Amino acid sequence: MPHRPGRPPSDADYTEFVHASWASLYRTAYLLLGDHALAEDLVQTALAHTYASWRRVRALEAAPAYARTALVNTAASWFRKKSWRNERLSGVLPEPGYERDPSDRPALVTALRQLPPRQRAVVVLRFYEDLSVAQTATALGCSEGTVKSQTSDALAKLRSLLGDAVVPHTLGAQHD
Amino acid sequence: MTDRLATLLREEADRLLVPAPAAEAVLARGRGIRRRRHLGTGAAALAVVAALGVGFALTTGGGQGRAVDPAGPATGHGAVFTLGTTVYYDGGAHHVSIDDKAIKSTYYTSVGLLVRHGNNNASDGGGPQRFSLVTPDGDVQHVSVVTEETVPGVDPRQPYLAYTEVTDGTVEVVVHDVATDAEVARVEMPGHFRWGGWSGPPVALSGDIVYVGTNDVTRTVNWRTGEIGTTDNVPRGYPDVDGGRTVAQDDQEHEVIDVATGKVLLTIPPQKYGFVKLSPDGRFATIDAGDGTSFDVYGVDDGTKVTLDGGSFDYGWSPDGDLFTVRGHHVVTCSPATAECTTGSETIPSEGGGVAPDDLRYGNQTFES
Repeated sequence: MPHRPGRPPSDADYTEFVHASWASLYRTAYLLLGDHALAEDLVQTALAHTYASWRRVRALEAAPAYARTALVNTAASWFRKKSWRNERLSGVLPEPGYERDPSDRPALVTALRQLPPRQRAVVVLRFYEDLSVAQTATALGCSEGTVKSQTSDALAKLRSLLGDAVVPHTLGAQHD
Repeated sequence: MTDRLATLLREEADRLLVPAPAAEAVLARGRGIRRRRHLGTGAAALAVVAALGVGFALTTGGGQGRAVDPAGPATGHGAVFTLGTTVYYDGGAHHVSIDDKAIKSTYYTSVGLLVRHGNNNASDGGGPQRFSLVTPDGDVQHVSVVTEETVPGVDPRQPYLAYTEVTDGTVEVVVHDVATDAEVARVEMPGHFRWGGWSGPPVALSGDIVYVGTNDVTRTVNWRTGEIGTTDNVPRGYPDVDGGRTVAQDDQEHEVIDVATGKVLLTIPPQKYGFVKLSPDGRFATIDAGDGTSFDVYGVDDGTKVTLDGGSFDYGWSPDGDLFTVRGHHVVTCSPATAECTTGSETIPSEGGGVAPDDLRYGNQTFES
């Protein structure tokens, strides 16, 4: 039976949606958080909020975008908490979640882990999710100026860790 | 200009091992949020509790406008403790009853308060250990795990209970999802276990790693991958890991250690009798003064110290990182950063039911010896 807009989805429909969207959301969550358990919790939280907010979602077709926004908003709320900052800056470096290979690629994940949470989020949202400065500012609940300065600081740090070949000097806050 | 960085990010993302979708858990959590939103003012109560970017969430509906995040790193507040068979939360403002003879201990999880209960309040030698989950709705859900003479482990950021079983001399690490009431991992591991008098070795859970106190070494089990190893970062014996940190101590010094890296985060001068305990999120460490009249609270990350009156075990940690005690018939909550204390307005009764009705136990405290 086709799903009617505005009416909560059936368990089967929503389960199908969870299966379809899970991997993509998880990848973003992991890049944002760098921790498997937290990434899984973040995805669950975002999808649960999407399910519970169906009056605003209205249709399964709109659910992917809603869930992704919920995921970023939830992550941003976690970053704002002092306890989160204390914990994540304690020097604990979570494992990457895949078999390491001898190429230079794991260096990126290692470098990301050395960024403060907000800078890491800015990098992921702007260069992985391809959001603009304004969209990133909205998602993280901060000013565009903060996004630009965080981007600049993050890229400088990544440049020092990964080299100019990955992060050329020409990169900066002008990415929109 | 950003092509190379964007490409590398996508390659990293594509190579991740993605866990299986937890659709059932998502639906359960989604329904829980929806139910709370539908509850009217005055219906039940609300308390979201979370520790540290760490989350224990305990909620009942009601209240208007208080943000509710049912699990994971979330805002939260309020002392959690048990009196007899009654669980008090939100600083004592709300309570639920556990249908058993006594409560043995409680554990903060990302999906609510896990309660261990049984025929008496003894953790050691107390017979069957049954479990219930007090959910964010304030519901009490049966958890099908029954253990005996075991020391379980939880990570407040997660919905899992870890414990060991020994069958024909073989130690198995078991991980149970208390939200879905389903076993999610069972890993057979090497090594023998004879010490301590428990039926299986004691464990601690931190992230994906279960720390297991076998005879000769602390073993590590990555319950998601099944990878087994050993670690010197967690002292042998009873593994105690909070927020990814543990304490190594001898007569000369006490050290708070990051279990992942082995890095010493804080060194605390020893006291005559006291030993160091960590808050559930690992952000603070306490040590009692030699004369037993006060205890120091250290900030693990910045080394700050404040002093509070009384003994450290007379205080509990709320899920969101405050110290609290029940003094007289009121909850007193103290900041571990400033030592400022406030007395709550709720009146706590003298008894809470069961075979040990006046037995007061603070959240996330354990009593194994």
